[in-house]
Amino acid sequence: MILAMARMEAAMLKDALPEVLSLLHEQGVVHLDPPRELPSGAGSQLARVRLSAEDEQQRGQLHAIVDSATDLLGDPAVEPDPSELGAIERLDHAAFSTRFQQVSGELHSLKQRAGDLKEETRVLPHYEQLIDAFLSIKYAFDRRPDWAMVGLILDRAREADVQTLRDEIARATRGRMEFSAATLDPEHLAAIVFYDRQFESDLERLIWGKGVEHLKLPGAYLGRPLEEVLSDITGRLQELPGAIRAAEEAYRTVLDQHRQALAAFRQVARHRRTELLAKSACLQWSYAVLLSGWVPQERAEALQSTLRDHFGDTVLATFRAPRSEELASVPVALSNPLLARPFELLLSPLQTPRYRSVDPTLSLALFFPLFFGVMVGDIGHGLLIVLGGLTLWRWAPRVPKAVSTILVTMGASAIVFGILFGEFFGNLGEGWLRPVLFDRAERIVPLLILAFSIGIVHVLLGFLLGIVGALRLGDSKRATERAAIFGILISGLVLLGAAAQLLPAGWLTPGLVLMVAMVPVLLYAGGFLAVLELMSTASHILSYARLMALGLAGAMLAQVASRLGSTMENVVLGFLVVLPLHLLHLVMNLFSPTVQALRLHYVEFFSTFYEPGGVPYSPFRK
Amino acid sequence: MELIGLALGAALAVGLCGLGTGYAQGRIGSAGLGAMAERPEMFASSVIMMAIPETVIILGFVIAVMIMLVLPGA
Repeated sequence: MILAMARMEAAMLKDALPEVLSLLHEQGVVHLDPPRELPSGAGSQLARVRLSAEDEQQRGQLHAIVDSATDLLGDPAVEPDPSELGAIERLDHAAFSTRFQQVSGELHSLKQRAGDLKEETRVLPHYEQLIDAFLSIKYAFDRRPDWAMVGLILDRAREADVQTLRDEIARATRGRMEFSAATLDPEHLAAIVFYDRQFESDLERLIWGKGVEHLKLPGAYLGRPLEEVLSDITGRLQELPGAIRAAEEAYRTVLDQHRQALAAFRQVARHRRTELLAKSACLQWSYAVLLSGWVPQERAEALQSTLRDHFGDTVLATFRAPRSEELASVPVALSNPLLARPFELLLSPLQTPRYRSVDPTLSLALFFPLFFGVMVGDIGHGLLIVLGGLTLWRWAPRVPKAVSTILVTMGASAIVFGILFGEFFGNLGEGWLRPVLFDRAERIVPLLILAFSIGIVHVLLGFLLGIVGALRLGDSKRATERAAIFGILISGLVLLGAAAQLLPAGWLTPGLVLMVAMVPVLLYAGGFLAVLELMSTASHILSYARLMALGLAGAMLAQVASRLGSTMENVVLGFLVVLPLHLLHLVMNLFSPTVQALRLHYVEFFSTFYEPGGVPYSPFRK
Repeated sequence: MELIGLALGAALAVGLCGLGTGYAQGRIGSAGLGAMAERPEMFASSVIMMAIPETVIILGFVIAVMIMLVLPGA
């Protein structure tokens, strides 16, 4: 069900705005939405609130604090300790920023240290290989303290360009350089260049322009004999893992001490940033401010009372129903019974429904498990799916509870239809389990009739909801069009039933009359395109044959798996054969029927009534 | 001879529908993966879009089943 919304407009003095925003933030029910058009008589004095320079600076600082805390914490889901949170919330902005710098400063330097050590671990092996490669040709180099050295990594595939590069480096350094290249590994050449430092910028420009990867020896190794450098690097590489571990351990120790505080800083910074930004959703004139938004009708009175208790007559808040020209901008909040609420998750891939249109959650809660059950229809698989859902509920707190609930419902439906079809891991129940309805693998036509019957009921329900939805949105022509299609479908069913002698022959004439009467109504309400929609409705109903197709395919696969196992003479071997086949079948049975059941809803069902294009309800809350 | 005809009919029903579905889903799948590479939240929509052409193969399967299992007994 889509909640009724009320338009809230609150006027107050500018100075009261931060406190009012803080209270509304705490209440968490207002969807801020400034007026699209200025109220009449406001003149040119009414304008959006602009953040002052101080506010902008604070916003930037708060943004940096959030980023910094998130970077240090790593895990975005850390919840702050309430007492820590309370203490930090009471700090003013200056004290807040200062305190954060004190807490985070040490952590940043420890993290930087660990990062530098890891970078050294990454870079030094290249030098080790380079220097090792060139020690054999060390006669080419002198100890020249005023010269620098750079290593270059070149592709073996570009070996022909090495001489060209050498010549260009010689030109850039006016010949004051020594260049040697040697094979580094099967894919790379290593080139080492000693050069006079005064040409460093020219050389850098050349190497950067060529896009050559280059490495400079860290300053500690410059001007020293290569053997000594190699020995130092080798020793350093042995020390680094221990140094990294120590740095990371130190970081983790300090982080553990400050984790709750950092989480509190992050949360408070986010809230304050949101409240600052919310100012720009208000209108101002002279010394007063107008704050507008939407509130669920059922919460309006309580909010008005709260505002009156806190601010008395200094804040004047009014609540009213949305006007017809505002309907497109009213946010949509869903409110459904407890058992249906988890199925709101299945609407998340779609656009939000329009305000006052029909919320399909209840029908999803009813038909989605039904479709899944018809397609899976196996007690064993249903039990495993229920078990999986309960396991997720208990052992995977990060998985939304809605997912677990939906899985359990799907599994329960699969068990019910497994009883109706008499299937337990295929035909493992042969002999003791008899189908209450019919055996899917043998009674194909009844299964197809069942699938089409479900499709007809589902599509007809969709058109009924479509009529209701169109009337709610004030589109009587659309409602008439849908009613005409509904009438034609009913008359078609009556005619088919009478022709197949499932209904008395006397129903033939009324059915024909209804159909003939509805056709001009359809043409009037929907034009010739409505005839196309009627034809597509017929194909939509045929699409429900997938309930039969997947159900039959699933039943056959399960039987094949069970029979393969039963052909094994050894029970253990038979079990080892059956188990992976049934597990594979279970995975397929979980994925494919879910997708197909969703597709039947999104395409065949929702096309009859769903009105997308609504604004999601996004309350201003912590 | 009749059996050959039935088998051929069923095979053509499933096979040709499978070819069409495979071609459509190949195009949709690659487009969906490209969209997901830039926007991972497109996963659910992409999976649903992939399921749309399956109507063709499902109806082909239904026809094949009816040819093989229902028609001989009719």
